[in-house]
Amino acid sequence: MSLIASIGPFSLATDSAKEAVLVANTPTFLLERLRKDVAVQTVLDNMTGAEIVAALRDALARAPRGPAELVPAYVYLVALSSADPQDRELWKQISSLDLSGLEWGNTIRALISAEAVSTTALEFPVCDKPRT
Amino acid sequence: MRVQFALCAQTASVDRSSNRISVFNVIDHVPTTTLPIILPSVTFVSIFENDRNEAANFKGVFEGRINDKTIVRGEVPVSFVNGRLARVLLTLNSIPINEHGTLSFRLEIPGMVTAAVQVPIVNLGTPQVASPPVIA
Repeated sequence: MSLIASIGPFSLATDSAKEAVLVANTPTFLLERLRKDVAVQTVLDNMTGAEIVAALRDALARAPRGPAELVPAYVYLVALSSADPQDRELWKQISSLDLSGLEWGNTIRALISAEAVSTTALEFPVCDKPRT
Repeated sequence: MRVQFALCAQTASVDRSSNRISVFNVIDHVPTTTLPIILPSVTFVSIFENDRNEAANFKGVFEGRINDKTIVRGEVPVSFVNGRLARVLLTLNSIPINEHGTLSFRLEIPGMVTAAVQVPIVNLGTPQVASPPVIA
C-alpha cells in the first residue's frame, strides 16, 4: 500500500492538514482544525466508520519516515469523532486502537469519546385539536 | 440521575463532525395578539446525566399540554451509551394555540427524573379604547 494515503485521486495529506499537524501546539487545537479540514470531510464522505478504523490501524502499523506521514493517521482519528455514539461495536474498536505511535493520539481519542453523547431525535405529531 | 437542563427553542441541530448540539431561538414565551394561532415549530431539548458511567436504556414518557389539555403524548427512548450523558431532541410542528395560559412540556423517566419546561402564552392584544365620558 502507498505510504501516501488517498481516496481516489485525493491525497489525505493536504497542505492544510499538514499545516495543522505541524503547527498545532495542543491536541484540542489539532482536533478543531482537522475537523474543519477538507481531508477529514473527504474521509467522512467516502468511508464507513469500520473502514476508517481499519485504515487508521493500517496507517499506525507503518513507522512514519517523517512528520508528514503522520498526517493521514491524525486525519482518520479525527474523522472518527463523527462515529455514531450508539454504535457500541465501533466504539469498542476505537477504544482498542493502539495510538502510542501518535503523540496526541490517546488525548484526541479521549476528547472525541467524551463528546460521543447519544442523542435521541424524534418528531412528534401534534393533535389537531387539544384534548382534555 | 438528574436533568442537566431542559428548554424549548425553535430549532436545534447536532453537528455532524463534532456531535455538539446547537440551539436556535430559545422560546421563553409565546406572544399572541389574537387567537387561535399556530406555532410553526418547537423543539424540546433536554439533557440527562446518569450517576453511573455505563450503558443503560430507559423508556421516557413525553407529554405536551396547553393548560390542562394534552396536545401530544408518547414514549421516548433515552439511551446512555457511551458515557454519563444522554440528549433528547423532540420536534413538534404546527402546534395550535387556542387559549392563553401555559404551554408545558415534560419528559419523565418514570420513578427517576422529570425534565419539564413551562412557557407562558402571553396576551398582547391591543387594549380596548375607553369610550369618552358622556356629558349629561
